[in-house]
Amino acid sequence: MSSLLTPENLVNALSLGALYALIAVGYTMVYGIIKLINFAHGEIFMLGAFWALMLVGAEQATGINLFVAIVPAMLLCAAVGMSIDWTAYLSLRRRLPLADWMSVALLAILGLGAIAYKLTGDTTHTWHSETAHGVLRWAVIALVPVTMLALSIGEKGGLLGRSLGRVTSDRLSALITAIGMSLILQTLAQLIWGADYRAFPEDAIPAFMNERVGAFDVVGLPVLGKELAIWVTALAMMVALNLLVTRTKIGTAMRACSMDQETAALMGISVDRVIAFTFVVGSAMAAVAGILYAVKVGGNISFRMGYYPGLLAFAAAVLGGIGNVRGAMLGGVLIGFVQGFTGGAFSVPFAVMILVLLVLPRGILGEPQATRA
Amino acid sequence: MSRTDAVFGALALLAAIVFPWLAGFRGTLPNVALYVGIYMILALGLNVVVGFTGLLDLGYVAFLALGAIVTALLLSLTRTESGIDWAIGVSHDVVGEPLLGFDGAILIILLAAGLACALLGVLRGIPTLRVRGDYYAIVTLGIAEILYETALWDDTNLLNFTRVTGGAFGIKLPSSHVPHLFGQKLYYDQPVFYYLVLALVVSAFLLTHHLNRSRVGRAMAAIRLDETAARACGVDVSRHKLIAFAVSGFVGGIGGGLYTLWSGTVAVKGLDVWQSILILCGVVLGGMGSIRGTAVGIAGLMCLGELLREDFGGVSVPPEARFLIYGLLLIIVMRFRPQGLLPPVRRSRAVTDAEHAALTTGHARLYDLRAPAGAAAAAGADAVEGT
Repeated sequence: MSSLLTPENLVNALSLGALYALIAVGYTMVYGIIKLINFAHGEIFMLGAFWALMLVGAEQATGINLFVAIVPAMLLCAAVGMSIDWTAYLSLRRRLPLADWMSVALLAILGLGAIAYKLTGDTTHTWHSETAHGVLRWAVIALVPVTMLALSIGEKGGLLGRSLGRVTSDRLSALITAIGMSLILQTLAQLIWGADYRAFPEDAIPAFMNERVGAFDVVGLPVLGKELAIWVTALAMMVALNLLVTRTKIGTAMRACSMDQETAALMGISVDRVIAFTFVVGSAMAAVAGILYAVKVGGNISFRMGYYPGLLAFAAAVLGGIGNVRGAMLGGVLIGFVQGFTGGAFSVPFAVMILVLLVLPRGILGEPQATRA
Repeated sequence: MSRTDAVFGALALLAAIVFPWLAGFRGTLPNVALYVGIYMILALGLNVVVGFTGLLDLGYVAFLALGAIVTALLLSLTRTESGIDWAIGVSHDVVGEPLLGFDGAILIILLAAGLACALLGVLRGIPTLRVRGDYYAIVTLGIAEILYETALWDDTNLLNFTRVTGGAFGIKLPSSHVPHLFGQKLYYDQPVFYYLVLALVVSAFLLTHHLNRSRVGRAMAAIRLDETAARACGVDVSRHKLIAFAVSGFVGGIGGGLYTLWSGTVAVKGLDVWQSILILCGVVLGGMGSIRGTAVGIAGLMCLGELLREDFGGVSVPPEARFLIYGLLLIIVMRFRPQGLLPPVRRSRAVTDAEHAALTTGHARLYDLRAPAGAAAAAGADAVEGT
């Protein structure tokens, strides 16, 4: 196996580790608070790459700069993350009859819109119409942020109906809802963007990204500009996240909710808003990871893109100790190393994940717990 | 089984028996019926783990795939001049007689496929005994992904399973190797195949129904309601979980074998996580733990899928949109009816007021039988039922 211990693999492992860590923090923060495996998190990662692709320009770099596109992509993904929470998971915690119906109706409209979009774009179909296609494209894409806005304003104004109290939903139902959400987002992406594998246009990626960084040649590591960009971005975001969680008021609220939601609520913390914020932060980080992953691998932007990285990042979160942000970072790097040094196969990191779940279910930095339900 | 259930079951069986006389054995409708029947067997198998035992299995497709592959391999065993060979692969020319070509051999082959999958279920189950809830779901998903990747692994230096699974192309059953039953070829458009599938659906029904009613089934229900409490009540949790995995795998393997016979090819490439999710959707929509619910749920889902292929006045739903609808259904059902469309009926009758009064005098007052469902309450109710 000595052929696997190459400098190339080391660089690859570090980059994969950094990316998995970026995704894993989203899983771990959500799991830490609402004890839910957010299956749709991998889809946020995929959407981040797609939105950056749309903003940059699908065929040629006609849109904005790739680096500038990261910011709107992050915002859009944050919006999607929050709407996922509002539409799918909120009602598992709180009964809001009007909001329940509204979110289902909105999801259905979104689905019908995406189907209509697909049909109007099909030249062999009787419904083919360029104008309707263009209008529907933006209508479908805009519906998610608009949904989020409407729901949050409605919630603030008490327009979503009187809450019938908190519900402690069955864990199985919550997980199945998450799987359903993941299915919906994947199919929506497939309907809107098709099933082809895409890449960022050549001229959108700055030249230095594909050049070797001279400084690393001294130590014999073949580091490309994009790998360095991944390391720097991931490191900066991790430091920022750590500061957010440990030093700010909202970070304290997040930790409080993670420890005991009821007590946190009694202390005046608006638990639902803290959870929404957690989704926002996690989704924004996943969006960055999605864009960087697409830049690193190249030609892999598709609706299936989020599945394997999402699962491996969840494995990373478990490995580090679920609910622990620093653990997720550590786990991400470890899983990245496992995959990087085994030639990129998915089976080995999965096997590691299973072993970890069986032997170390609380992970490396996890808090010991009396029982797990 | 209540009287209404028995009447409905008998009517459904009668309808299934006379159905081909109305629709014929060839064409779209009978083909959809076979498709529904095969997936119904798979869903009934999955229901044993997900519904009865309360463990979310996201890797059930592994049983479908293994059952299908074992059946295809056994059917394609060929006696050649130089010995015994496998007639698999698309380009592989078949020279010689099928080894298991005698009439009725398919029953033995299906049994072997079922047993292989039961073994897989136990082997897969042993390491997962310790994990519960979400973690169990993730582990099963991970194992299925590992098996999927291994089956398609075509690196000639390392283990190469594509010799067995046919790789991306899959295994194609040679037409000379199509098995016979009662003197008839088991083609998808033959009456004997239709009635074989029907008989196996009924068997899966009866098997899971009696399992659910048995002592083992009650132990599984106790594990579902509260594993810790079940253990405390003396239920051998590991043993009953392994039984559930074995039965679930056995039924799934037979479903996989029928899948091979029905489609004539097995391509592992198409048997990915979506198949697991599809079958799971059927179980969840119908009602986890409910046999009739599972049957109705999966039948409804498959029929809906077929219906969406149709052309509605010039508008045909894009095929990929089917999973959008499945996802939406999952979310809606989980929100408004988390127990499913036809939830399981509580087996034990409610404790009457007189019994409650009698049981809660003195020290027994500690154990309120009308307390929220828990393994202890269920065990208590079963005890009352027994008296």
